[in-house]
Amino acid sequence: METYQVKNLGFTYPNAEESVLKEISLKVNKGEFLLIGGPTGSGKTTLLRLLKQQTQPVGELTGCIRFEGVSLHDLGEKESAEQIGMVFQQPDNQIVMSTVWQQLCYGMENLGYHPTMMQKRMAEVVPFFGMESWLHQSVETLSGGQKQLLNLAAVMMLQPKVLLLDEPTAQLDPVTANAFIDLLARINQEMSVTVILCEHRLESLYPMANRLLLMKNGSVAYQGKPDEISLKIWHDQDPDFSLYLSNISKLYLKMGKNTSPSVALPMTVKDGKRWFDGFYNSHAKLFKGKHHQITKTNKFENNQVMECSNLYFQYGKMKEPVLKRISFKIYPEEYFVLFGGNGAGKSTLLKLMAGIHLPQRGTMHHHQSKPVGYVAQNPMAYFTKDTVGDQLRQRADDLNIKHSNYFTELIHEFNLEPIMDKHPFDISGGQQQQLVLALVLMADPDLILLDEPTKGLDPARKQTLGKWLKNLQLKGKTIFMVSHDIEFAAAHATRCGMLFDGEIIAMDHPTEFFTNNYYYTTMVHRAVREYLPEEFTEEGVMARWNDTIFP
Amino acid sequence: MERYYLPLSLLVLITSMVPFYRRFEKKKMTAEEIVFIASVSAIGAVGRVPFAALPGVQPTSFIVIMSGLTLGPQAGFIIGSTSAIVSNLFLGQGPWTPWQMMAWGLMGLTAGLFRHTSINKQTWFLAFFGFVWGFFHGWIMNLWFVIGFFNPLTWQVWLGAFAASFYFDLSHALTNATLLFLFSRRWKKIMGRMVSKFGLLK
Amino acid sequence: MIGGFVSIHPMVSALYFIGLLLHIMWLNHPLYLLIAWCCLVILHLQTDNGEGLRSVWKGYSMMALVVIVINPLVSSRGSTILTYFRNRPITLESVVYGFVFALLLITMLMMFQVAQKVITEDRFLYLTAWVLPRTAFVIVMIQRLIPLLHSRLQEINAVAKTQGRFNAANRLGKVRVAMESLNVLLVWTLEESLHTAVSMRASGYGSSLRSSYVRYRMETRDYFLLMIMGVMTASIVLGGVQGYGQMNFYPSLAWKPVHLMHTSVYIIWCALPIFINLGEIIQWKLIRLKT
Repeated sequence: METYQVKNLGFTYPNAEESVLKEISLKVNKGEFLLIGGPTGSGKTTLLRLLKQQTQPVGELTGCIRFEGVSLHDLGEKESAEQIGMVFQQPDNQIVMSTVWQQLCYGMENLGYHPTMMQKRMAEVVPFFGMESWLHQSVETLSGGQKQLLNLAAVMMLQPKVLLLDEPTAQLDPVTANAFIDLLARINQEMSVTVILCEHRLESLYPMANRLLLMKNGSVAYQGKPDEISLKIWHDQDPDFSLYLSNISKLYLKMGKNTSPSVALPMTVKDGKRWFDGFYNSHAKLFKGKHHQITKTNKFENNQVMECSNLYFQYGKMKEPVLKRISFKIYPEEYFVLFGGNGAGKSTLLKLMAGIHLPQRGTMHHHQSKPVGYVAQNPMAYFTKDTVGDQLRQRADDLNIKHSNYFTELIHEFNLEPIMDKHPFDISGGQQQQLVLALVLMADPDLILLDEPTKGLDPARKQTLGKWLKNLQLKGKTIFMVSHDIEFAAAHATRCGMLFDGEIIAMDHPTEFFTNNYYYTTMVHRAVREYLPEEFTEEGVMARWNDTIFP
Repeated sequence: MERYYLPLSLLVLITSMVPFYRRFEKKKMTAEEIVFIASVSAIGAVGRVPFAALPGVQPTSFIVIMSGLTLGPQAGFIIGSTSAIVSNLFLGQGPWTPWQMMAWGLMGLTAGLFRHTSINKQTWFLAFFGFVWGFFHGWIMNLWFVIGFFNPLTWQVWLGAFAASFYFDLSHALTNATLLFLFSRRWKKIMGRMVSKFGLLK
Repeated sequence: MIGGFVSIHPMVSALYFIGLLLHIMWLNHPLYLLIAWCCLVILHLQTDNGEGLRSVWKGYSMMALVVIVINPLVSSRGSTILTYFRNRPITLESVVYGFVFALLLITMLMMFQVAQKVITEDRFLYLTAWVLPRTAFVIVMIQRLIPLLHSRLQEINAVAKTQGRFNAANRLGKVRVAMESLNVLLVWTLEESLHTAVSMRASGYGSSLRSSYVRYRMETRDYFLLMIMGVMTASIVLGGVQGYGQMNFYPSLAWKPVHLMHTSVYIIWCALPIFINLGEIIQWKLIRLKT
């Protein structure tokens, strides 16, 4: 019997002209790992939330959903809570209690479990998740990744038959995101719990997914095995989903498809490397030996935008220093990406540069008289007004540019005209980011600082952001962002740096930076580094490939 | 008999709060209602933080009054009195806790009584209401000390108690009046929008 | 201290403190109040080396002083006139009243202070949940939200600073700036709370009668303690009803002679936590000797 059987499902939000879901039919088998992808607004979150009665949004629903053969409406509230577990995107919003153990018990308390039973379940789940050492901590001391693990563990306490997860790793850094996904795979493998997972970063998930479902405008665009879908997308040259192909697959499809048809489509670094090793050895002559050198000299060598020397920072008198011996220069028209693990001090450095905190020691020079723009991680902190328009006009008033062309240009550039009358909280996350960018750019800063701007964005949105930032760079602005997004940086950055334990460890041109790193590098580089150690992008590898010889 | 004023007054106070909490405990409440009450109370508890640079200015009473106005007397009482318990978790519980619960609870409750009246659209009225409550609150907080430890309770004693806390109460009253006069419209709008988003008016 | 009185079941310690509070308010003979006061000082020292007391004793003394000074000034009751102040008689009874009630006040405040050290937040909420489950649940939610809101406020302030929203010259301007931060926090928090509500429903909130995970279990010694406390309360009340341990002030000072049995039981009641703590210390010493 299937876990879910969805027939002709349609859904329309109140006061909406168009339905978000149209005629969706779908079967999910027991123990299956179903991955759902698609751009923001394609309806995947709505679909996921409809799969559980208690999370269904208000609106008009057509068609039917059966859970284990029973109509979802006939499933009791208690059964639904137990058997269908749900994890949402924002780790903080799902935590209700103030300590870890309270939160773990919370779901069981809701369902009126006996204390002895709760103890037994805790004894089982806590070691499985390795949470013993933080069981008695208060929730505020946890990192985002730990919070999300806690949310998953709290759901597992009820021994669900199916897990619904709505972009659970979107707010996590890659290391904790992987730890989360690995646990999820174990739960799927070892407990045979059905998993339905919505995500944007699909590449790392392809290996564990039995089936992939790609959605577009409320309908299913593709459905099947991940590699089959990838081939199909490539074959159709589908512009909407080509961004969803893993870079390794793209590389394979571009150069190797005709030559080695016997190999299955590689999607992971491991498969990619195996294919490339064989491919390179049999076609070594077809690779150009020369790497085209990028000029490294900066035309603004003596004219830096900002210079930091020997910065030290700590949050309190008795606290450990967060930043130590930070010295670097930023030159005009740079596109700088700073990496670093959790708690390395990236956001703190950004706040220092934005003038939010003052360093304990060291100096910081911002060489031009223009302000520094700061784009925080959370757009919400910017919204003081009830409409997007008011928010923009208020800022323009403060800066005395309300009647300038620059103001209207910005609104146009960031496509804000259609949402001027909306509440800043009622627009999408991407639109919120556009609004914040416009608010920040209004002061015409020469240096723009961004705190993990790609977090939670879908691939298309990410590409747009990349383009916007590139545009700004071309207009003479300097971009400085902290990020975990290696592929994004590889595609756009002109310089990269790495922060570790409060110190800047490396700072280099992307070629040097990525080709010298072992972990902090792109998937493509990891696959090809043995033979083409200077390449880290798919374009770079393609430039070395002498395909004119091949028909 | 006077010797027992303190225990007796405590007993009366606690029993008079029982019906409110009984109703709160027994009523069927949605997750949305519970979350809303907890969130607003938490904002009441951290509300003093942005005002750290302004000694004597504290928005907790403003928040209690605004929640009473938007959510009604019952929720107003619960938010007010719970804020008292929560703030005492940090500052220390004592014989004053029930009195503080009562003072803020009644503040929220009386504000709630004006929820459906047209007079609450007048900011001057709200300012006046907050001003008066600044003093009431202080007087209620004086009660446990005066009733418990002075004998006989002559008018001089009461006057002395009011005089002793006058400046403190005046600053509370002025804060309430200013905040309500300037910001009650904005908060009513924000909270009203959220109340309908939470579906609390059904 | 981690073991000892701090470790007994919260229900028992709460009952103990409620009993003590009632005894203090009722048995107001200075001797009895002194006994309670002494025991509380020792208990303070045992619990946190008197640190909690050190930070509040000035405030307590001020309040006590007010009680001592004001009572004789406003009261003209009592039959033994000591002197006159602005033509008002100052009586011996009212002076004694002031001192006794000052002692009562200090003893009571000290009891609350130490009770909070013994009944920690966790225990307090456990007790609240026993009587008022939903209220306790809301308080836990608030406790969870407070640090989260603090970090949100920091973010809001950071952004406000970079957006130039932080410049205010006068007091009213500062109020506006602070209030704007609070507005943003309100909208932001309530918007996020909507998701919390959905997640709460997803994990079954409201689907059944809530139960509560019990971290504290009644052990034999807790039952034993309860029994002792019951017997002692009965005898203290019995003596109290007959007028022992109490003082009348007006028209003139009057009290029953000290009843040795009643006073002894009262001493044991007040010193009960001290004995439990001492027992714990002796036990550790013994264990160390044996091994």
